[in-house]
Order: sequence, then C-alpha cells, then structure tokens
Amino acid sequence: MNQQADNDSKLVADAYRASSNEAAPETLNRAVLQQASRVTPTGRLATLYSWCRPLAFAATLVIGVALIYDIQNALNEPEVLTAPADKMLRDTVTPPRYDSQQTAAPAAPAAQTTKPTFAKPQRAAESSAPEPITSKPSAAVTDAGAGSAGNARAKPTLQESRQFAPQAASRKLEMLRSDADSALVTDADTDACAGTYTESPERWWRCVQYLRTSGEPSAADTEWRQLQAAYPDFAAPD
Amino acid sequence: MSATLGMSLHNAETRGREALPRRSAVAYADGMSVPVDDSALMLRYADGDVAAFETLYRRHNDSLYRYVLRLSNNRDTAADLFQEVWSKIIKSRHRYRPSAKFTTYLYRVAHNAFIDHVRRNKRYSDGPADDPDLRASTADGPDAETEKSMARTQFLRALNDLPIEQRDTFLLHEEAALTVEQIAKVTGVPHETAKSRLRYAVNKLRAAMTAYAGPASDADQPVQQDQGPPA
Repeated sequence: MNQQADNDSKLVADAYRASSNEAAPETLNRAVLQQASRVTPTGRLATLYSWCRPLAFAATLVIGVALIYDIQNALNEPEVLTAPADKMLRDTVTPPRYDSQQTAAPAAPAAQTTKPTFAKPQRAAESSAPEPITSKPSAAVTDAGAGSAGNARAKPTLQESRQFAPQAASRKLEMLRSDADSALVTDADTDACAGTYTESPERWWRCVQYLRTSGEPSAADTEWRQLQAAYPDFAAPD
Repeated sequence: MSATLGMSLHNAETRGREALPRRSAVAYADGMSVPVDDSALMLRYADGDVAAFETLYRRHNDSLYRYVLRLSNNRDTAADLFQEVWSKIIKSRHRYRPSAKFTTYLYRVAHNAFIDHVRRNKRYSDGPADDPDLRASTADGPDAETEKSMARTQFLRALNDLPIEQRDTFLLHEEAALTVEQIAKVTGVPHETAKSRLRYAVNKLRAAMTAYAGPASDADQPVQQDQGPPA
C-alpha cells in the first residue's frame, strides 16, 4: 500500500516536472537583482555603513555620560556662587550712570554727594560667599568727589576742581569700562607704598590714594604734603 | 495513448531535469568543494555582499516563480508576487536569523504574500486560469498539439483544478522540496493536515492522469487485442 503510494507520488512528481519548466523572466531577474544591489551600499560607503551602528552607539554613550556629568556638577555647585556674578554685573553697569551724571552736570556738585558703589572684581572673585557691595569708592572717584565738594584736605581750589571734573569723569569711565582695568588699579594701589615709590610723583600719588582708601588719612596727608614738597609742579590727577 | 503519454512525460522529464536549474544548480564558494549554505549567503548579503545574494537568488528564482505561477495561474500576478516576495526578503535582510532552513523562510514569505493577495482580490478560489499553456490547449485542437504538450496541458489543468490548499501543499513539496513537517510550518497547519492535503493532491493528480489516459487506452485496446495472438 505504501509502495503504491510512493509510486504514485513519484509518477505525479515526474509528470509535474515534465509539465512545469518555466523559468523566471529575465526582466524580473534584472529588477530583483538591481533592487538587491541598490539597497546595499558598496565600496567606501559600505565600510562607512558598517561603522554607522557602533559610531552611533559610541556617540550616544559619550553624550549621555557628558550630560550626566554636567548635571551632577550643576547639582553639586553651591547656589551662592551665582550671586557675586550678578553683583559684578550690576557694579559694572552702575558707575557709568554716575559718570554720565557727572559729565552731564559738572556744575552741580551737590548732586555728586552720592558715592558710587563699586566692587572690585578681585575681591568678588576671592570671596566665595556673597558679600554686600563695598561702599568704599575708588581713589579717583573719591578724589574727584572731594575736590568738587570742597574738601578741606584737598589742595586744588573749587575752580580748579571744576576745571578738572570732566577729565576725571572720562578717566573714571575708562577705569570702569573693564574689570581688568579695575583689577590693575587695585594691584597698583596695593603695591603703591612699597619700594622706591617716592622716585615718581605718580607712584607717590597712588600711595597717597591707597593710604586714604585703606583708612589712614593722617598718613595720607603726610605723604601728600611730602609729595607736594618734593614735586611742587606736580598736579594731582583727578 | 497511455503508453505515449507516459513516454512523452518521461522524455520531457529527462530533458527537463537537464534543462532546469532547480536544486542542482548550486553555487560553490571560491576554492571550496562544498556549496555555501543558503543561510550563510543570506547573512553575507545582510553584511553587504551582493554577490552572495545573486547566488542565492539564482538558486531559488525559477522554483519560486513556478510556485507563484502555479498558485495564481496568472503570469502578471505571478510576476507581481515574485517581485514582492524578493523585495520583502531584501528589505528584511538585517532581521533574518538562520533559525530554520532558508527555503522554509522564503516560501513562508511567498505563501503569506499569496494569501494576502487572495484576500485582497478574492478571485482565486474559482477564478479563471490565465496561464497561456492552458489557454492554448483550449484554443487549439488536439491535432495541433504534440503529445508532450497535450500531456503537459492536461496535467496542469488537473493541477489547476485542485483546491488551493492542496495545490499549495503539492507545490511546496515539489518546487521547494519541503518535507511535510516544513510544509506544515509554512502553511501554519498541523502536520497531519499537511500530510493529508499532500496525499489528496497526489491522488487527484494521479487519477486525472489515469482518466486522461483512460479513453485513449480504451481506443487503443482493440488494436492491441487484434494484433495479439489468440488465446
């Protein structure tokens, strides 16, 4: 029975093979093979394509790690560190407003009694905690304010002060334009009374300024008198 | 006539086996004596080796074309299905995993494509055949046909008369050389169902061959009896 079935199966299979001998049309063959080669990159593109996946994975990994690191740094960073930057920004903006008042109305000394607030960038950078803005004016501003207000210690007369007021304003503006300039002035003031400062009237003058701003007015006056004696032709810059 | 049919089928079969590439036309790897496995070729193609795909394609293109042609009985439909199947194979090359024989994978895709096509058109259950071979037999008289082509036409007509499930099973067995188990996997039916479908298909085709040969043998019978010696 099984042998009969096998014989029938073989006979039918032979008949089928004899009856069906079509081949795929060449147009179809070309179309399929063209499609197969079209979707497959060749040459350098194939090499690049083979690197696409690992490169994409590596890039994703690097970006992810960098992002996590950045987020962790941002979380660990103390919040107060952002405060000095804001203050510095305000400080750099505030003085020109004062200077513009000075320039626009040089003949109104009463309006200049308001002392400008000016924080030294170096101090701001050194202190990690936010501090109140220092109320100490810079030497140039103090001198200008003292001259225009008729300070008794200032040698120039009121008329001379008025004459020098616009120049002082422009100098202050230059000083305040950049934090770097302010930092340089501060360093110069610190070292003003060191070494052979009496050899140059400008350095001596800076020493006087430094002593005044550092809370030693009597020493500053002494130095100022000695300076005037040594250099009588020296005119104190505003 | 029966002897003529059998002889013509035998001769055609012999010539056909020589002419058809079928499973004997396999590609060999460079410098190797064993053919490269279909799955390995497919994996190489997934890595960008177009030549591997061409080898794979040449192995299976004709048998797959005959499969969809005999299933659909329409050359245009067969061409569309053929391209659709290979297009799916090409597009899914990166997802291919050699978990089963590649032929099983290929014909499962083809089977599903045909089923989708039938569902879209709903005209293949009893639809008219558009096979030029079958049309030629109805248009021309028997005298215009050679015996070989007559036998071929009759066999194909019998094949076309099979229910589509049995025809599918028979074609998977003959064209893809799948076992009953593999046919069951491709068509998604139990093993016994596939086995019975194949058995029914073979029996019906065998019966059709006998029926075609029957009247002719009856017509030849008296001549043979006349020529034979009396008992």
